[in-house]
Amino acid sequence: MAEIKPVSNGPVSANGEGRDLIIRTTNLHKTYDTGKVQVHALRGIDFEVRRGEMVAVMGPSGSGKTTLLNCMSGIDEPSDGEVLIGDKALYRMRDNSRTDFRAQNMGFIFQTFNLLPVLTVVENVELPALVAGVKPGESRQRALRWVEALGLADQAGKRPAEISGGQQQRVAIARSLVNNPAIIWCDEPTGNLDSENQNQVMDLLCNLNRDRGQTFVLVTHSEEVGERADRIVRMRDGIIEHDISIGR
Amino acid sequence: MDKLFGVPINNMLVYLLVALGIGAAVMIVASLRNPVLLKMGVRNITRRPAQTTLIVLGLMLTTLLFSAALSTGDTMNYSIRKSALDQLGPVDEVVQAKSISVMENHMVSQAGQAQTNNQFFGRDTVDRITGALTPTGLTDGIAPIVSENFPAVSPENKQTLPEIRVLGVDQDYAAQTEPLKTASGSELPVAALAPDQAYLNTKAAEKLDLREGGKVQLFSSTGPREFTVAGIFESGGKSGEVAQSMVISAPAAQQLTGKPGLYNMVLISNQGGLFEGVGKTGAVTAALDPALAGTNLEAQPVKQKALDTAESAASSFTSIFLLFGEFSMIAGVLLIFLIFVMLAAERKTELGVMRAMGSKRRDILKVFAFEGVVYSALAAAVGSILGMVVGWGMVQILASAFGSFEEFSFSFSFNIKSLVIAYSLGMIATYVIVIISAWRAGHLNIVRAIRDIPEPQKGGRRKRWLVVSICMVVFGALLTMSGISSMQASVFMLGPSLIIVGVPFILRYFRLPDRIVFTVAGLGLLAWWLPPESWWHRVLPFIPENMSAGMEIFILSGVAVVAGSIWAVMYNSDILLALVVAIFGKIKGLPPILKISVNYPMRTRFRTGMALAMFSLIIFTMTFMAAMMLSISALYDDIPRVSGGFQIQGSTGYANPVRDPQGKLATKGDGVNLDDFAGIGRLATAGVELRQKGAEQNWAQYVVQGADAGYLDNVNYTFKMKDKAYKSDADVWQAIKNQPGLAVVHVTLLPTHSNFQQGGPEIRFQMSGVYQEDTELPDNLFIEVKDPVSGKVSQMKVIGVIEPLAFYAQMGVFTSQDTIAQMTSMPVPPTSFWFKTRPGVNVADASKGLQRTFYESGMTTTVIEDNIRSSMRAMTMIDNLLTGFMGLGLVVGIAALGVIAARAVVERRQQIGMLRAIGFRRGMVQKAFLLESSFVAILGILIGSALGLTLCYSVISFMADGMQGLTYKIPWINTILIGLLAYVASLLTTYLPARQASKVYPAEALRYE
Repeated sequence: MAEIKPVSNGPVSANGEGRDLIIRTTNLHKTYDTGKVQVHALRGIDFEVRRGEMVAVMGPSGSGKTTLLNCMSGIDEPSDGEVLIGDKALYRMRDNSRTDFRAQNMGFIFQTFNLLPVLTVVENVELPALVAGVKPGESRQRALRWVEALGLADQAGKRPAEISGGQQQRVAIARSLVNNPAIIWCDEPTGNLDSENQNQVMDLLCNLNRDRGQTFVLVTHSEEVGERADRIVRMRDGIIEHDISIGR
Repeated sequence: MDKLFGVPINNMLVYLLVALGIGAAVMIVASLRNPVLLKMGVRNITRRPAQTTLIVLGLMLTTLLFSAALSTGDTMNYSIRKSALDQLGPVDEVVQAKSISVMENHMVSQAGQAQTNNQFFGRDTVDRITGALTPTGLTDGIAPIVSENFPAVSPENKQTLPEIRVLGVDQDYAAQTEPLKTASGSELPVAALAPDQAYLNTKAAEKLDLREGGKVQLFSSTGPREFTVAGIFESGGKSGEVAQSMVISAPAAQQLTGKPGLYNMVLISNQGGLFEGVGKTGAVTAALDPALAGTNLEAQPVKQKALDTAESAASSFTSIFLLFGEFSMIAGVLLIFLIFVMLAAERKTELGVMRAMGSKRRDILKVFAFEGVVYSALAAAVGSILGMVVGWGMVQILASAFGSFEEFSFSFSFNIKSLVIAYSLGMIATYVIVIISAWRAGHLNIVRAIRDIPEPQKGGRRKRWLVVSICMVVFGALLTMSGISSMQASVFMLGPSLIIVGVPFILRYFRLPDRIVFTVAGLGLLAWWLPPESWWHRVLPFIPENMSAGMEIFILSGVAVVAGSIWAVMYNSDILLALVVAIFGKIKGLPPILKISVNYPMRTRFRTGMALAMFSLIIFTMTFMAAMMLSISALYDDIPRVSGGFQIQGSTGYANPVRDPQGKLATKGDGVNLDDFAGIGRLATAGVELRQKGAEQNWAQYVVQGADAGYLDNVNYTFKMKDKAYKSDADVWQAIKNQPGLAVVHVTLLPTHSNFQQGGPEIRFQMSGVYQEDTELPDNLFIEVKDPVSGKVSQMKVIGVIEPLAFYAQMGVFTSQDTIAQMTSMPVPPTSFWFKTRPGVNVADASKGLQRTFYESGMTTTVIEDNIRSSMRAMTMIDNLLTGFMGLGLVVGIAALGVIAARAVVERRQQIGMLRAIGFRRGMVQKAFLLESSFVAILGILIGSALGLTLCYSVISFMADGMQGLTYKIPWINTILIGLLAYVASLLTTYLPARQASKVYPAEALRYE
């Protein structure tokens, strides 16, 4: 792996009890109102993640795991409760500030990769850097370093449709890392991959977590993926059923 | 309107209704056999009313253009017919001395009527006419009259009229034609008119400020004569082209003309109604032929002519608007196609599922066809009605452009047939495109459709395309040869175009990269169509010159250059992207937005290409028109060149000619005197018959202008071609003065090679063997002149061709007054006067002074510069109207951007969610969408403007060979305004979808799959 600038100090924990806490939710509720029916996706979640931890959130469909991830990452506003990222209360910020905060401190990996089909691999990777205000030349350099680091140097000029699913997910990972964020949110990161690619991607995420100390929160159905995390949080019907540290 | 593009309207109506009927029958049968598919197709219409409204509005434009053009034609037809009826009433034919049409005369001399002087006839002739017609039973009225124009004055209140049409009528005039009626409807008996009494029409009474009992004085060659106004009539007593008329007894009129017992006109009314009687005109004129044989009289089918003129003007107007609207129609067709391709894309998964569940491709086609037929029917209905509204608007503009013609007014009208034709044409055109789009939609891969995966790009490498490409090249070669042999420019230009496109497409089959294929084809088309003709003749000298071309070459060139440039741009977008990023990428906060907004349109080639094509086509035509207008109208700023060096023009009638203008100005000038003028010229207009010697031509009734020394010494019109014997233009004019038997003609009397003419009056006499494009005048060009009275034939040698810009010499044949005197058996008095003022003289005051001085002769004067500028204003207004009509197509381009943007919001919902997740603020998403549309709009505007300006440069370069002083001018203001208008409108259209995109909630969008 090419030498990459280490993760910055990152956000400070909220409660002052220790610098290790990077994410904390308090009594988090989320209710979807579809007009006729109210769906309680989260029912008072209290949840903490330490810096450098890799946490897998698991549970059956409709258990609220993706909603929890969305609320914690600031892309879906909870109905009640609070989310602290470091010392920042996410939902006390205005939308634009929260968006900027996300750009600076968070990376996202999705099941369907969500690469922009019209951009090349390197352009997809550099996009978050450009959004964060990094100059175009510097953004391109950073993107190229990550593309190379993830073994995609030969694919840098190709568009997503021209590379395999595994490669696309690696592009998505590179994109999530280009700003050296403190937290990386992964929603079913291997959901669209075969087992070989799944293992490769998980190796990559675990190595990054181990080597760079970045915090990973993964939502997954896969027991295999879950077992690679430091901790497994199992959800059902909008509440946390189990929270088990497994250690690696 | 009876015909359009040469096809009888009734036939067209039948064909269209039959086509519609067949289409409807097929749809009904299909819907009965496939009720489920019908339900599936039609439910989409009610499911999304907003989308349905947008689609209908998008589809209706083609129909709107048809409808607007047709209603303009209907209005023209109706207005001219109405005007004819106002002027002629029940009169269908007029027997009078042979003359040329008023329209031609207006163009030739801007003077009064140009009849031969031997125009009077006695009671015996009238009896002969009556004797010939009465036994036939074809007519219900025959009225001999004296019809002449005289200057009139109201001595009490000093109001003057330079010209009033005086009708001297017999006692049974009312019975033979129609009675004179007052505003209250009571009849004014003409039999009761005393020799010093007159009835005035309301217009004349208003102008002279007279009421019953007032006095009106007329001036004729026999001296002034006063009449008492015995009544004022509102209807009857038709006056011809002059709005103000006066009815007196025939003996009184004969005293004024100095021809006791003689008439100069017989009005004939056919059996039947006002318009129906026209059907007997042929029989009436045939019955009159023996009675008029051996006289200089002819029976003019005046009403038939007026109706023909109405028909021809209507057809011309409709054709012109339809031709100029073709670009918009092409854009409209592209929009319809785009809308349905988008609809198919939106329903791709649904269609994939249908196919997976066992539906056949033709079922998908049927679903779209059912949906499309409803959209088409609605769009055609809305379009044909809105087209009428647009047509009404255009008529208002036309009315103000022609506002100076007091005797003619526009009255909006439309024919139900036109409405049905517009509807049917629009419906059929829309529906055909819908079916093509539906067929395309049915050809999908089921798995890719269900999973919404893009189709692979391999279209051009199929064998089918190879065959098409080879056919294109072969057909292109055949067209090239055919174009050369038939000397048809459009056929010739199209041939190599097909080869230019076909060859790279053949190589595409053999793996030549798309980028090279489309770039070569695109640039090839630009290189073929854009350079000036002279450039191609230098490079490829074997290309024949002076090919024939019509409006279609403009349409072809537009389509070719726009298609070429869009191919070249779309397949080299990376260069463009790099350029845009290099220029704007340093602006803080812009790089990520720019990256998205430029990449999306450049990677979705089909839809961006379509939108670009629509924008570019319309901007191209508008810019081209603006540049042409500016370059040509700039020529008319050279007033001395256009006016021939004179400042004031005066016209009189024959009734009381001006004998000695210099003498009168020297002694009795009223506010002017002889010293105010550096020169005074006179033109006598002789009605004769002409033909070119040695050419196979029939005699054509025409006029020859006999110029006096004053005119020939002062006129400064230049010549496009002149006899080699003369060194300068002035030498030619002096030769005309000094040597009888010489003549010059205006360039409009020469035919053109290019034949690029639209509308305009028919010219009865035209030279042959020498063309407008020629540079040398043949030595042996003679015009034979026949005096219609004596039948004497003489000839004139043509020694010069007057240049096109000689506005007041248009369609003219000029010789000296001496030559006229030798050619005609009767003296022809000058009726057109040309004044060259000295420096410092107020031209407007001098013009009024001349009118006052020569009021007894009824002189009407015009300040030439004012007249030229007013004509230019009217021309500019009509050009602007045409530009505006073409600009309707912009709506198409703008709608296309709106449709694309709205679709993009749906398609990219998940991507928008991702962008928001990684840090795109709402405003950034909105900006990205707006920039994306801006990018397409600006690119389209730039491509269209650049192409329009470049092609105009080529056309102006070509035209400049035949029009000295014509230089290319860039219409900066118009170009910028057109561009700004298009851009702002496109921004407004995409604002809503952009705002919608910015409101996409990231978590929901990311969940949405």
